[in-house]
Amino acid sequence: MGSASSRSSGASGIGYEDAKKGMNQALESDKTKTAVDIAVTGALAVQPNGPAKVPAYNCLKHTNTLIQTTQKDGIGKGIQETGKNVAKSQIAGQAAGGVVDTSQQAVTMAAENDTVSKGVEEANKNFNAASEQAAKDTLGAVFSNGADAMMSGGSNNDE
Amino acid sequence: MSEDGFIDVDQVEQNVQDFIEEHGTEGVFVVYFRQFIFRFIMQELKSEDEEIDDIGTQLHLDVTEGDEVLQVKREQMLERCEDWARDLVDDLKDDEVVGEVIEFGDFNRLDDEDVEERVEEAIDEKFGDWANQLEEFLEEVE
Repeated sequence: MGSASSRSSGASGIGYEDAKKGMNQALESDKTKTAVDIAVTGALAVQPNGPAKVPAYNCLKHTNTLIQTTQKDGIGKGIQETGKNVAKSQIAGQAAGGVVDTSQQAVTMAAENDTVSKGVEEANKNFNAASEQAAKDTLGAVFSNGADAMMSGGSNNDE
Repeated sequence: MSEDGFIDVDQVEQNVQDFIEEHGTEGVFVVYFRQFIFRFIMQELKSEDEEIDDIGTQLHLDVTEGDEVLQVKREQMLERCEDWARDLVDDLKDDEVVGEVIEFGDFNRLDDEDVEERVEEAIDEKFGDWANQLEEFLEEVE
């Protein structure tokens, strides 16, 4: 699966294919941070504006709702508030991955409902999978690691 | 989590409590965008690779396990993704409306259309800034 770009990178004429090549070259040269920098500036940042951002926003919104409600009223309420009818006693009997899965399904379901209601379900799908996986990753990291889910407090220019 | 893999709901709730106390709504945004950027990159690496033993494919196919070298690379990638995520969230905080939502954690306001529009506009604007930096990063691998 490739990603169509609607923007070039500045006025240089450097394009998406150059970025993908550079990203792999950087990884092979052990320049991991540079690979990420190239991927962000040359592949992510050139994705089309507009509807592509809708699933990303919706997954963020419902992930946040689930976490905030869990913080105030517990995980059962958090999942219910987000969109799935699950009792706390059912969650208690699940393996850890199951609770994250159930939470992520609630987020995905709620996010898809929002996206469909906006009529953009056929829009650019490059962000759909990344949004859903990000929701699951975020829930898994916070549920399992607490405050340590955040890796660092660094800025973008600290290399 | 207990050792047998079954979840301790009280521990999950305590972990969520600890996270919000330490990092607030801003933290949820940063971790979400970190993972979003990371997953997008993994998707791009997979789409690029023709050879199965290519390192990009290895990184993509084996996200949770793998040898130590790949594990270290993934950790480094995630750390860098967090830097970019923080850069984005710092910009979102600068928006008067979105910044207020993040600061006060009023998550119901994320349902407001004007908040959504402003978040999406801020992302588009930030992406435009980021796209202009590609050339300098490409020079680092030449």
